[in-house]
Amino acid sequence: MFTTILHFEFKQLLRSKITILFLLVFSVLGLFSYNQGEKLYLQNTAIIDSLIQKQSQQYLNTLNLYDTIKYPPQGKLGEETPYMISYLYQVVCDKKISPLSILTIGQNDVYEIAKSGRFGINIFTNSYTEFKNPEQLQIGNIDVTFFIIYLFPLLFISLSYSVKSDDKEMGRNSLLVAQSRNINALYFYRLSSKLIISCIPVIIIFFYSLYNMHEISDFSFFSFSKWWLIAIHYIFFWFLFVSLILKFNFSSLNNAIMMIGIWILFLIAIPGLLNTYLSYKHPNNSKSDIVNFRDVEKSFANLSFNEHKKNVYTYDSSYIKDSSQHNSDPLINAGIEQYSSELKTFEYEKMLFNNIIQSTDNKLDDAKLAYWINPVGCIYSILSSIANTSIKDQQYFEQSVIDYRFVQMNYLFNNLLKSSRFTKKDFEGMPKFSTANKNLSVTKYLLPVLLFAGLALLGIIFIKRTS
Amino acid sequence: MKIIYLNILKRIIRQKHLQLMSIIIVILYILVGINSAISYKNKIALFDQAKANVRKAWLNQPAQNPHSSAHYGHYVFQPVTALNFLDNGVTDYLGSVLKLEGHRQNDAAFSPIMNNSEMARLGEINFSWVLQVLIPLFIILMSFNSISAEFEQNNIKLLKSQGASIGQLLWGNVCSILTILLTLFLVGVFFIFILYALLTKQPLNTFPFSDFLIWISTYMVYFFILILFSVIISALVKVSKLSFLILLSFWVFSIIILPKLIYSTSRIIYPYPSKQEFTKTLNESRKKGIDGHDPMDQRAKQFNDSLLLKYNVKSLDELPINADGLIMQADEDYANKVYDKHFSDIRTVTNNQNQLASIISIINPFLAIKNISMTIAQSDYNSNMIFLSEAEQYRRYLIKELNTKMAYGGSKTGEWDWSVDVSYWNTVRDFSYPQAPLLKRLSYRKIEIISLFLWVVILIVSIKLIARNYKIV
Repeated sequence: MFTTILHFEFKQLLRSKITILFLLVFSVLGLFSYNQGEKLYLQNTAIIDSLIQKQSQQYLNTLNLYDTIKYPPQGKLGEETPYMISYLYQVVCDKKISPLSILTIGQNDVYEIAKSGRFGINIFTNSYTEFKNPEQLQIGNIDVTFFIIYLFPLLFISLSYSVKSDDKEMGRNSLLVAQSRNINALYFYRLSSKLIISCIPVIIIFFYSLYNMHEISDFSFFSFSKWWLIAIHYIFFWFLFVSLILKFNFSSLNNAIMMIGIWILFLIAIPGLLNTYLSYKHPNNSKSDIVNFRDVEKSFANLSFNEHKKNVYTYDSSYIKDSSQHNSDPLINAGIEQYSSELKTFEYEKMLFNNIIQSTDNKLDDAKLAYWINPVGCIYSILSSIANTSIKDQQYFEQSVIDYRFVQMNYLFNNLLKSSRFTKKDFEGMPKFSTANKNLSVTKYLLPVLLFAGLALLGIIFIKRTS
Repeated sequence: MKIIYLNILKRIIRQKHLQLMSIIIVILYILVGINSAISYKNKIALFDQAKANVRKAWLNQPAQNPHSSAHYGHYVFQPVTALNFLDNGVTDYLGSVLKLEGHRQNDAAFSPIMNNSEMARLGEINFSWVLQVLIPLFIILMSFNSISAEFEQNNIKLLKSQGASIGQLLWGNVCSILTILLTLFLVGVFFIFILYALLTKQPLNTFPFSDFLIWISTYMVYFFILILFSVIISALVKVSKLSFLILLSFWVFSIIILPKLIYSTSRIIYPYPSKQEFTKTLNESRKKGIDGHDPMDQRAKQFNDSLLLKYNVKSLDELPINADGLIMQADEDYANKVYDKHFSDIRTVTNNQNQLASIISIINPFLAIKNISMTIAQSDYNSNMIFLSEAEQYRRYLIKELNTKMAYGGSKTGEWDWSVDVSYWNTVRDFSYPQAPLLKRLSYRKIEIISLFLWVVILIVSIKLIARNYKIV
């Protein structure tokens, strides 16, 4: 029976110019949304490639410098001091941009995709922030996630709100009831056929994205499938809700009002109210802390030499054995002062960063709790996490930048304080930045969506209304 | 006309789903009002605290060389205006801290959105959101069957036979829906203002009442447009189901899809250069000027020679002033020209992108009201630009003041250890931001204002034409 109904629905589709136009418009919108994501992805990767290229050139130049370097007399500052090395070879820490960010732009248009890897430049310095239009950021992106989350339900609703009520309003209902077939099964198959028709733009985007993305070097078919499985799950979620409303046997108009009401509730009202509540509960108040950074940094530089020395020895007691030299060599003395200031600054920077992470975690914990009433927010977060465009991915990247800068600083100052000269070999041995996207577990957050789907399913099974 | 108006008014008020929606809207007003008031109060407190802290830090500087203070710099923050409380516009997407220092013009950093999760992109609800997004839905629900129901229930001929004209029916519907809506809107305005006065404890004499009244009036025009449009659609379509779907599609398209489409397209038509590319060109342009920190620089040498000639001395040491301060200022003057040129190019790109949205507001009243509302509340991009421009003027004043002190304050060329007395810091005035007058701000929104005006005129003419040519079949 299903194939017959599907065949009938497709024939109906071919007869209805408006439906074909709808499908065409939505397909074009879907492809446009893919194109938007792809543009941003290509733009970001081009920027990173160019930064990496510049960095490689600097690396070679600095390496060559060590072939011809004329070290100044012992005790004099030269090109081998930590600050000079980090200036000559400016490490750029790049965020691994997942190809799936084409499908979910998430916060990728807001966050920095690269950070300076120089130990003296704190994580809050925005050297690589691209130009952005705040009005555009506020309006948001039109990406595949937007298409699936916002537009697909509208298309499905517009095609199916009158699946059942039309028969009643056109007087065909008694004819259908008289048939030997189960009428509920008939409507279920009709709704399923409408779902398949509504999925045409989605199917087009799926194949188009697979075709375009499979050639990208770090494309993972597993993550891609995971993303689409979640999207299919969301589509099924809407199928159940539409089925539930149809079960109430309202008129077409009331069906439309109910379905749109649920769409507004899930997609606009609940996420909006929750975001408002979360902003109220966890306000951003880092303004003064960031401003204080300048003064705190300055205060560290003003410590006495003995305090600096104590600070360095507390951090690494192995320096104590060289303490006799630390009073005679002015270069080493300057190094101790700088190292101590940097250590203190790092401590403050890490404290500020951890505060921000803690505040975000508190906010996210509350947001996760709210998934039980916010299934769309839940799906959106899962898709962002799979595409590595969530705030946790950004913080993971920034944390790895801080860790790298700390390792780099220790390496350079260790060389200054323990070796007589920074050589080519030392430069070659300098730690390199590497990061991989952290695969955050997402499946556990699916539970709230499953609950909603389950409730809808129970509603479909148990609600009995006479036609 | 009066009887029709009263009858329609009674019919609408009796509808249960509209009563429910009105209650939801009033509850939302209160929730949003409380949230906005508390958030506004926090923002004001943070702003005042941060502003006081940076001034204190400036005044507490030790006796040091003025140029060290130029590097130490100063921070400024965009003030939170009273109407931000009603519409916070793009403020969450703007940098919240701007560092002013010598030699460079910085971007404002740390936009609040950067500390938010991806969920934040699904939007927040504030008073202007309720008015721009939710009230239009309420209007659609009140008016989609305003005329079509008369056809479906065969009342139209009855009304006609009793002497009522189509024009009276159309205007009766418009006026009754407008009455309900304005009541609901003014209740919201009343609640929001009471919450502002009670929770923020801000002095009311500083509240911009005239801006507030213009803001309210603009929303009234927006609602009037939507009511006229909805009633016209209901009259033209004559089938409630279809009229509802058309109006709803218009709502989805205008509010959800079109703005995103426009801004995405504008990004393609007017792309930004990459930051790397921008910095490279900027640095190249800067290299063509004087390097204030490099005495071996050719242009610096020429500048020094001109000083020697002016003061009729043979070496810089003999100068009665500190040439370093003047070179620094010459470097700044040149850099300012470079920054003006390059940053103005970037602002042109942003303006072009936003201009496209302004043009589209001619067919989309939502975009028009959104932009006007943000502008009146001083939470739009242009208001931020006005602030940034004032901040840059202050930076130039500050650095010039410090360089002048270095040049003419009593030190000699090369005396980098020379320092000013701590009392000097107090003579440098603090940054104060005179807010731009409303007319100046609204001058950026001419297209949007014209758009709303055109919508009103076209819709009134349409109603008149429909009333004249309407056929009751």
